[in-house]
Order: sequence, then C-alpha cells, then structure tokens
Amino acid sequence: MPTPPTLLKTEDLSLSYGRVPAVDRLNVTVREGEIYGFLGRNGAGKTSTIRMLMGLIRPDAGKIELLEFRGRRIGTKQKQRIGYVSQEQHFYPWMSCQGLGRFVSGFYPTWDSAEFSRLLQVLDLPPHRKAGHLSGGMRVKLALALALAHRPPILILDEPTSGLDPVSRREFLEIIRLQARRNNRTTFFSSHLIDEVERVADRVGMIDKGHLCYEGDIATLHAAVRRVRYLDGEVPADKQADLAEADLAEAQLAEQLATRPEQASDSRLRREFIYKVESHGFTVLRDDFEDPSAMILRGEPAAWDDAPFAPSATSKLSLEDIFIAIAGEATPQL
Amino acid sequence: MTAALVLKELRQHWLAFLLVAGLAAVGLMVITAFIALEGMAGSLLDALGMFLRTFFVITALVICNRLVVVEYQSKTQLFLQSLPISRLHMIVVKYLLGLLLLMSIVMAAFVMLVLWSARNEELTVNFVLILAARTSSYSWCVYSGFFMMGLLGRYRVAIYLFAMLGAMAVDTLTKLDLSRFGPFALLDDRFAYERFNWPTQALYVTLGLAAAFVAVTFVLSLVREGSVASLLAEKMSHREKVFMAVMLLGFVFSVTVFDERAAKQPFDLPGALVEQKGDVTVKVSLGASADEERGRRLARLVADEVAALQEYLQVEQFPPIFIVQRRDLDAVRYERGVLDGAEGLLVRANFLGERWQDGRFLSWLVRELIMLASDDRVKFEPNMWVLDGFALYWTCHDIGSKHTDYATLDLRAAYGMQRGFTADDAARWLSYRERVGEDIAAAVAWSGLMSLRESRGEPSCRAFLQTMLDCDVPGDARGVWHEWRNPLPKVMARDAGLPYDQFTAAWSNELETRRQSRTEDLARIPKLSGTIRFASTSASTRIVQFDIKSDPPPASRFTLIHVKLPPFDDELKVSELHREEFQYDSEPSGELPGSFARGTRFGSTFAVWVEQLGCEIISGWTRREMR
Repeated sequence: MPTPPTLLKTEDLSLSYGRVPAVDRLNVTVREGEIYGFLGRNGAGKTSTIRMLMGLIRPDAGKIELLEFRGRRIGTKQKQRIGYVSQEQHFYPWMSCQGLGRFVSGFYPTWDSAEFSRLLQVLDLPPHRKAGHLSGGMRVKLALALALAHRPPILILDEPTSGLDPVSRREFLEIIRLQARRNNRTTFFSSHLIDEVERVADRVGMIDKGHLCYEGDIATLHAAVRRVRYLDGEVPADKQADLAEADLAEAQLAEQLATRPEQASDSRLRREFIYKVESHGFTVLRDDFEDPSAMILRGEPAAWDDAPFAPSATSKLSLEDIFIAIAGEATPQL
Repeated sequence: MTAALVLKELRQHWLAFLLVAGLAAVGLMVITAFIALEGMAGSLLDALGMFLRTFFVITALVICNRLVVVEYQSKTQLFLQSLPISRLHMIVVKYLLGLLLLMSIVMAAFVMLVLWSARNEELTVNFVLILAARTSSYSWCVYSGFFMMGLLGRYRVAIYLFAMLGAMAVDTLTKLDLSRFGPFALLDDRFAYERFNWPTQALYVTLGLAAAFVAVTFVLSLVREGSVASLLAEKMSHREKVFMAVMLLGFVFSVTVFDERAAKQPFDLPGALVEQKGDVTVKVSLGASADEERGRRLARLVADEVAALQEYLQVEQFPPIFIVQRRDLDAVRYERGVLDGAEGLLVRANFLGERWQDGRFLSWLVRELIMLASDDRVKFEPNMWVLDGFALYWTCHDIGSKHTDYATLDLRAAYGMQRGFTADDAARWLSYRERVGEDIAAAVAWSGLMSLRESRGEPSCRAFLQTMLDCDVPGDARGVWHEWRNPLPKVMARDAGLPYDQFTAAWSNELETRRQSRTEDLARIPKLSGTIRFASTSASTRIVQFDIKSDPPPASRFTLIHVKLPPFDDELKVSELHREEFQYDSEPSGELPGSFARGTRFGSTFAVWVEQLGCEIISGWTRREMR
C-alpha cells in the first residue's frame, strides 16, 4: 500500500519563551487521511506547537508546510482551510449555537450552513441555546461543529477532551474517529491521555521538553519497545576488560559499605545484561518499576529478531508504559 | 470578515450604543436649550464646546469600554484570534467602528448647531473650518486616548484616578495651566468666537497626542502576539489591589499636604498707596508718616523696575510687592516679612531714613523677588553667584547712573579679590559669602556678569541670565530636573557661547585688574580680624569674650554679629542674626551681654561699616561649639 502524501510537516520548528525553550527543532509529518496523536506531558510543548501551526504565534525558527503553503507563519488564507478546536472555548456567551455559526461563517468562504445544521443535530446541540448556557462537553462539541462545518482538509485539536467526563470523552473521541474515517479527514490532535490516543490514532508523535522523541505508528512502537528480564549471556570480548574493572570497583565498594553479597551479584548481572543488549543494537530506556530484574528496551525489528535472550523473557508494554519509558522522569525516591 | 466582525460588534453592543447616543442627544439638547433660553453664553456654538467637554467624553468612554474592555475581559478575543483573521485586522475594525460611531454623533451635533447658529450669526467658511478642525481633532484625540486606556485592562481605572487627581494637583499646586494645553486649548473660551486665527499649536499637540495614543494602542494589542493586552485584562490580584490602594492614598495625602502648603490667600495692605504697571502691583504703606510723595515715588520706581525686570527675564508674572515703612529700621537694611498662606513679597524698610539708597534697596528687592518667584530654586549654591551678581547688575546696567555708584562697586569687587577669590569660591558661594560678607560677594559676582557681558555682549548675557534665573520653573522635583538638565557650565556654553573655564579665567583676571588699579584705596580699608573665647561661668553656662583688631582702626563703631546655630550647618538666616555694637578703643576687647548654655553652637563675625565701600566688611563667619 503506497504511503499517503504529506499534508502537514514541520521542519526544525523552534520556539522559546525568553530563555526557556518550549519547542526545539521539531520535525513532525502528518499524512493525508490519518489521525495523528500528539502525545506529551503537561508543558512538553504541545500547545505551543499547535499555536504555531495555527499561526497564533510566530516560531523563532523552522518552517511549516501545510497543503501548498511553505513558510514560517501560517496566514489567514491557510487558516481558512484548517478546522481548529482549542483547549478552552471562549465563545461569546450571548450568542446561540446557531448565531455562532452565522458569525463564524463570515470568516470561511467554504462554509456549509447545511453541514453545520446537520452537525448540530448529530452532535445533539440545541441550536437556539446560548453558548453561555452550554455544559463543558457541549461547548467542545460546538467547537467541533464550528471547526468541521467549512469542510477543512485538516482538523487540529488541542487537548479537546481535557476537562470532560469519561462518557463525554469517549463520545467525543468516537465522533473524531468516525468523521475522520468517513471523510478521509486528516486529524492532528494533542493529548496527554494515552488511552484516548491509543483508541483513535493511526500514528503518534511523542514530545518531551520540546523534543520529538518518537514518531511512527503505534504497532511499530509496540514492537520496538518491550520489557525484558535479565538472562545470562555472553559479554563481547571488547567489553570484558571494562566489566572486570567495574567488578573490582563494585567489590571494593561493597566491602566498604558492608553491602549484601547478593546485591553485588544483582548489579553484576544487570551490567552484564546492559553490555550484552547494547552490543546487539538495543537502547536501554529504563529499569522497570514493577520488576526489579527487568528493563525496558527499545530496538529495531531486526534487533528483536536477533536478540541475545529468549523470546520468553520479553513481554509487551502498554502504550502508557512505553510513553512513560520514553518521556517519563525517574521514579522519585520517597 | 470585516462585515462579520462589524455585525458582531453591532449585535453585541447595539443597546449600549443606542443608549449612549440617546444620552448624548439629550445632553446636547439640554445644553443648547440652556444657552438659547437662559443666555448662558454669547453664541449657540458654545453648546458644542460644552457638549464636547461633557457628554461627548462619557459617550467616548462608554463606546471604548464596550469595544475593548468587554472583549478582553471576557477573553473572547482568544476566540476571534482562532478564526482566520489577523490581530491587526481585528483591532483596526474595532478602532474604526468606534471612531465612526463617535464621529457620527459629533458631526450630527456639529451640523445641527452650525445650521442653527447660521440663523442668528454670520458664519464664514474659515470660521466653520476652524470649528470643524477643533472639534474633530479633539474628538479623535479623546477617543484614541480612551481606546488605548481600554487595552490597559485592570490598570485603567487606577490610571484614570491618578490622571484626574494629578490634573487637579497640577491645576491647584502649580502655575501650569492645563486649559492651555493641546486638546483642552482647542475648547478654550475662544472656541465659539475665534473666526480668523487657527489654533495651530494646539492642533499640532492634539493631533500628535492622538497619533501617539493610536501607536500605543497598536503596540499594546499586537506586541508579543497580543499577550500583553490579554495579561493586562486579567483581574487584579489581591496584592495589586492593596498596592494600588496604598499608592492612591499616598498620592491623595501628598496632594493634600502640598495643597495646604500652596493654598495662598491674597494679601493686602489696607490704605496703602498702589502703583500698577502691567501686571506688576506695588503697594506702599506709609504707616504713621505723612510723606505721601516719597512713598508714591518709591512705589512708582519699584513698579517700573519690576516691570522692566519681568520683560528682561521673560518672567510670566511676579508676585505683588508690599512695602511697609518702618521708622525703627536702619535705612540701609531691609527686612522681608513672612506671609503665611498669602501670596506676595512683604518688605519692611525705612525709606524715609536719611541713609536710604534707591539702588541698594532695588538690588536687595530684585534678589528677594527672584528667590520668591522661583521658589528658591535659584539659590542652588553652584549657581547662586549669578543671583547675587544679577541683583547689582540689574540695578546698574542701564539705569546705573541713577542708582549705583560704579566706583564703589568696583572697589567692593577689588576688595573681594583682595580677600581672595578663585573659581572654586564661585561653586561654594555660601562659604565665600560668609568669608567676605554679602555686599562684597555680590560685587564680586557682579564683576563676573560684567566680564561676561563685555566678552560676549548683552544679548548673550541676557540669554544666559534668562535660563539661570527662570522663575517659571517650579522649585519642586521639576526644578531639580531643570538644574540637572541645565548645569551652569552647559548653559554658559550654550546661551552665552563661552566655555566656563574661559569665563572663570577672564573673571579672575578682571578682578585682579580691578584690585591692582585700586591698590591705594584698598590700603585705606581696615583689615579686620578678631577672636572669640568662651569663658565658663558655671559648669553649664558660658559667656562670650572677644578681641578685635583693625588696621587702620575703623572710623566708626564695630559690630559683633552672632547667632545660635541650628544642629546642622545651613545658610545663615538674616532674620535670626543679632548685632551688638561696640566702640573700638585702645583695648579692643569685650564681652557679649548674657550667657549661653554649654554646647551651644555659636556663629559670629565682626563687622564694620566702611564708607568708601558703602557697606559693611566682615572678619569672616566662624562656627564653633561652646565647650
């Protein structure tokens, strides 16, 4: 199956607030028709990225490619081809849902009033109720209706479900998934909630401290990152000397601190394991929190095929575990 | 997009706009009716001026509040920004829409009143154009100001309050007349009557101000992706509220304190002879004396001199002068009265005394008058020699032969040089005065100004004096700013075109020339010196004993001038000085009557009147603590 063309792309997109870097040389690629989940912790740079993609703030450096546009900042014409749902909805409280549609229609040449009315009906929004009287879930749905009624080729959503209850969130995600599938609409949405991304996204981008840590489809990510228990294995010849030196140092330290002999033995196994897997092209992401004798490794599919441990020693991780392994901090010592 | 935004604004604010337009219309009708029926003003067009000062301001405030403040406070500008419209477009549409609405109201009022007035008075095209320019410029400026203030969010009310209080403070505490400034000047008393002259200056200031407001508006709304205006629109934190309240209270308190100090009642001398020249008022009270002729002559002389001085220094206005005859005073000494809470210069003098000298009195009066008018700003020590020198310079520079004996002044200056004078003494003028005495120091300063006039000419000298003795600069922080911006060397170089070091060198040379040419005369002037001793009469009391030496012996009695000094060194106050006269005999020593507490800080000098100089010379002030 041929790879769909790219609809949205950033090249070394960077932004800082004073001396604090918010987004650092970000390169994301969103293909036509896919749902792209933009994952990151709070403050990772998701909203800043989306605000740059919407032309609300000017990047310090880098380029944005959107449809036929290529440049630093998105202009009014490009914005007319984007459907946007922001994190918080600041509608005019005195306007009704229908009134808001009428007002917003003036900004989009491709506005389809019939489609807006249909969306209001489908999303179960009362057309004459004022925006100030809508619940949080209804406001998000109204924002979605306003974003879709001009039939944009791309939809950008900035943590749209934050603040929604689980039922409303599930309902909203279902709407997103359906409209993307039916209309082949490209959707770029940010979230820090792993399960919702896992539920609807075809591909994900993981951002941490402004850096993109991973971009690709979820299945590949599941295949690339797994939990592995320590097993005996051969240490390559070139690492033997290092290992012996480290052993000696550890033994001396253990003697000084009167640590338990079995602890020294555990550490040796761990080091041996690290040397072993690194020489096979794996990256050790972190120790596993739940199993002290396990680690989370990341490797290319070929590396897993040629892994120096038995397949039975590996186990798959949830996307949340993978996300934490990639973007999470070490567990604080209490 | 523009149409959508305009429609949104109209739908959102139509009721407020309608109400405020109705209020403006009612207000205009009420004002016009009062003028038409009650004859409150000479022209119906005065109603337009009144309307612009009152109801128009309210209308502009409400419109800007609705268009800007409501949008930013409810954060709906964020929704607008997420739509395909630029921030610039958004703010331009709002600004122009408000301006259009407001100008529609103003132009309706303008057209109505012009047409109505045309039935009663002849309106020329030029007059109507002047009126239109005044009206539109003022309206644009006020609207732009309010629009800009709307973007200042939570600080706008505090700024309005500070601005109002500040304007009131400026109006009551300073000589600054706000009604003559920019937009206010456009609505002055001539608004409905000035048919020929365009108020160019006021128009420039108003249009400049309006342009500045517009520039700030766009900076506030666009800078940092509009986040500045958004942050300013946030509600005040508790800490900010407390800070603002404290600032406001402090401001009100300060204004009140200053107001109390500045509130001056008009002073008057009942039954005095009055002489008026221009806006200079001189009143002379004869007291029990019946010599009206001499009193009237003095009043005329002083009025002429002060009016000329006012013109020479380009001073806006001098305070009124009140001269009271006091027979008990020495005719060559004068006292300045204290006018608590009243405006004017009160002088006590014995102008009927035999030793009375017009020139001497005038030079003293000029010095006091300039000090009073400048709130003592001109007494800044490094510049003070200019004030002292000018008092003599003025009384003799073009009517000198009438009032001043040049030869005597020349000898005083020569004597001042003999006592020692350098450029450093000019900078530490108070010390120099205490060393040689006021009259001698004044003559030295006079010689400096004469030197300047001779080298650079009278116009340059006058320009220099106008800046240094500018009485229209207040003596508060603005005076400090003025001094900082105009140090004497800079003013001399700028206004007189002479570097200060060259000036001081020329001044010293001239004084030395005078000294050398008057060597014989100077030899006859007594060389006065003396010592003071504090003798104890008990553990806590002291008496003052002295020895004096004069070569040659003085022709008259000598005087011991003394004062109890305050804890900190300050300029000696003439009114606090005590004078004890003694006969100079074969054993010139003596004792002051009375005793002093141990620890008293005692200032003293010996003085003797020297006829050739026409003034006293002193041995030099000393300040000591009684041990």
